Amino acid sequence: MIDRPVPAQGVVVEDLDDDVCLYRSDIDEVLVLNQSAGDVWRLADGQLTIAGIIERLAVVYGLDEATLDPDVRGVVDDLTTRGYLVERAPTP
Amino acid sequence: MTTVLHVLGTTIAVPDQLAADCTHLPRTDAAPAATVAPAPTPVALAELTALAVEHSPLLCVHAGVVSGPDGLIVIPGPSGLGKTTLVAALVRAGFGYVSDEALALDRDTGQVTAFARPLALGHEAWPLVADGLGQSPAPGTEQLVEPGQLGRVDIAGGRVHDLLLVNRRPGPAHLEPTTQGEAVPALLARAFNHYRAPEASFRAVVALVRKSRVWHGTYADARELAALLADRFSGWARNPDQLDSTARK
Repeated sequence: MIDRPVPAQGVVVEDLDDDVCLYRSDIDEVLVLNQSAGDVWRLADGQLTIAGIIERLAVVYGLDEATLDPDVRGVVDDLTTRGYLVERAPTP
Repeated sequence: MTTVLHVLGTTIAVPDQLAADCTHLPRTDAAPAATVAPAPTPVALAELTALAVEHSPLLCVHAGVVSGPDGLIVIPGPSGLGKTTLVAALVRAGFGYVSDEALALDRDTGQVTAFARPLALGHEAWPLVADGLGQSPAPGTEQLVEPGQLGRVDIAGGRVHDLLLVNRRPGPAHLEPTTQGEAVPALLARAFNHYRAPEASFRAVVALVRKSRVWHGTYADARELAALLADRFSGWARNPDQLDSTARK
């Protein structure tokens, strides 16, 4: 499990109403994220750790972090496995 | 002898016999980008389509397209889905014929170019949508129908307003709105030539979907779904059993 997710290079992103559409031209694949998965994606900018993303969403949704934890980690894990998120490169 | 047609934003030379059947495809004096070899008309028509898509500067998506009161309605789908039959039924129900094969989209402007080629209807589809237009083709064969014989032909193109994702299944036809998110992969999966400019094609598809209503339709009889759409989009109340069986002019 990566710690500080960031979009993989080459992923094309377009917002579509509440959804987020991702496209990888290298494998010609479209992925449509619903609102909650899209919120995780939008916070995966390399600045926040996964714990930080969970903390931020807990405030937004009014839920406790323990409730959100498995879902957020599940989204990050899935997007990482599929090549849409990677670990942020360490800063020199 | 050949005639050069302006098709999908490119120019293709076709045998004069095929050109005679393609009354709604514009002629041009420009040099052709490719030439269709002499062949029986349905085969030559398929080659015309393939060559036009190959040379087209537009994003071409495998889809039927008709025009309605709010704009263009696009029905993406693979071969064998029944797009041509459904498009024919929609034209007979009052929609304008734009294409039974390809949505041709300018990636920058979103403008759609018509591809009003003749429709190839088979033995099973003939009594549903071409009744009164002559003898049905034999089983296993297709016959070209000039789209003007079915109803209104709309070669002006225009902008997409509705996307219809369809499935064939037994039972009464059903139509319901669905999410825009469903339409993006459905369209891109049916794109013929998005590989030439993949990122621009993806963005163009999303831009198109963003401005469209998206529907999910299921049907066994194309005429039923056409009647539902006619009723939903413009309040036309058409009973599929009362579709005019005589040729329209």
